[in-house]
Amino acid sequence: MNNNTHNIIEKITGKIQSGEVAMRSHTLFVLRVLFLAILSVFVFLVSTLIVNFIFSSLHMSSTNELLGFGPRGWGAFLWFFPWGLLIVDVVSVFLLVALLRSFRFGYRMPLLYIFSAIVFGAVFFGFMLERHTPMNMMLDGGMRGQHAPLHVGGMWTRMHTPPPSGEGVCRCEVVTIEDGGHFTARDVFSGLIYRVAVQQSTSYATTTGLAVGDRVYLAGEVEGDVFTAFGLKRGGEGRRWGMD
Amino acid sequence: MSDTPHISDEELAHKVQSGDSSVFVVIVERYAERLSRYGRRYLAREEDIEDVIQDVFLKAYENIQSYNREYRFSPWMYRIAHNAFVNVLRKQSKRSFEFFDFDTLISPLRHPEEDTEILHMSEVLERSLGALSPKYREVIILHYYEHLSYEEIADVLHVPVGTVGVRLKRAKDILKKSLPVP
Repeated sequence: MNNNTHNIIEKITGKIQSGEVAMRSHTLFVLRVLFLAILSVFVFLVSTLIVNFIFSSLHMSSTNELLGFGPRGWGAFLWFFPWGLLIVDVVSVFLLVALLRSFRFGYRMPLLYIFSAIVFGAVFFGFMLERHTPMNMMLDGGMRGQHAPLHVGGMWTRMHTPPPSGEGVCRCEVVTIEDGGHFTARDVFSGLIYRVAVQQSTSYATTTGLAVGDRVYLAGEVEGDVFTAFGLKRGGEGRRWGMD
Repeated sequence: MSDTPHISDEELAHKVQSGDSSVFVVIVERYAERLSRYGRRYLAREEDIEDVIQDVFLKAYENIQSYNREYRFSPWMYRIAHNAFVNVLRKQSKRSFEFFDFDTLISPLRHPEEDTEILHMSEVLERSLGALSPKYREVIILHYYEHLSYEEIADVLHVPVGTVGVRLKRAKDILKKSLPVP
């Protein structure tokens, strides 16, 4: 054994025997692992709930209908998409990846695989929560009854609110039908009345069979009280629109 | 000092975990020189290396209860050492440093002429190792000098096993280009 090793042994033995250095208990490490595991599950749940909220928001505000209106509708969808929520979700995914890398299975797996697994899991469970559980309806009832903290209730209310009509979308009710495929419609949310004309060049809007009282979702350009629609979809039964 | 040559590192660690702190000295004896050699790939000054080695062993003692006996002890120890040396390097990043100590490459029982030749090759390898970026240098050192397997290196560096393989291949490709043609 050389001198260096001898020196090291002496110093370490001295510190251990004097109590300057002490062994940490096994319980501490078990608790640390438990804490990381619980925190990871919590962050995954938060990510899933955010995804569920995004799906619900798109559904409740009818923004998802824009996807059925061709390239212009897709552009409008991207414009109205809740990007802020998505950014929060991406941050939570990165946080979860960092937490999972504390575990052997986490750092042994390539980053891309672990990232993809988390994203797929959050999207899958978020979607299933939104479509196949009454959770959002129950929360909706609670939020509307103002049982939620104000800032959360405010966010929930905005989720229901479509983009303002002046921005080119409208959840409307047909008021009168005119000749030539024109009609007037009342914005269910704001009460504004529009004279609606369908763009000639679109195949995503037809007024055939439209009747007074029909609920319609419109996408197009607004100038004053004239709404020139490139997309029109009739509301189905049971669809909850606006604040009614 | 050590009369426990037939007891594995894993069994020694378990004894320490069970409360027999005196056995920790055997672990220090077994790993001090290995970690010093490992540390010379990171730091130039012996005093710095000795200080870091001391911290490594103290951390290992403090956290010995986190060692899982299902896995080999060596990667666990090297993981602590890797983190300690990397932290020191980060603090010293503005100070220049170079690798030295070719002795660890040379067998003590060699013909003098072979010594010269090996010294020359060692100098070339050491210069080439110095030309590698840290992430490639590390895997070469851990695999070829410290004789850890791919899986063990993955546990030291906390990267996937495939990444270890890729880094080793790239490091060898760079070394081949930098070595002179015989």
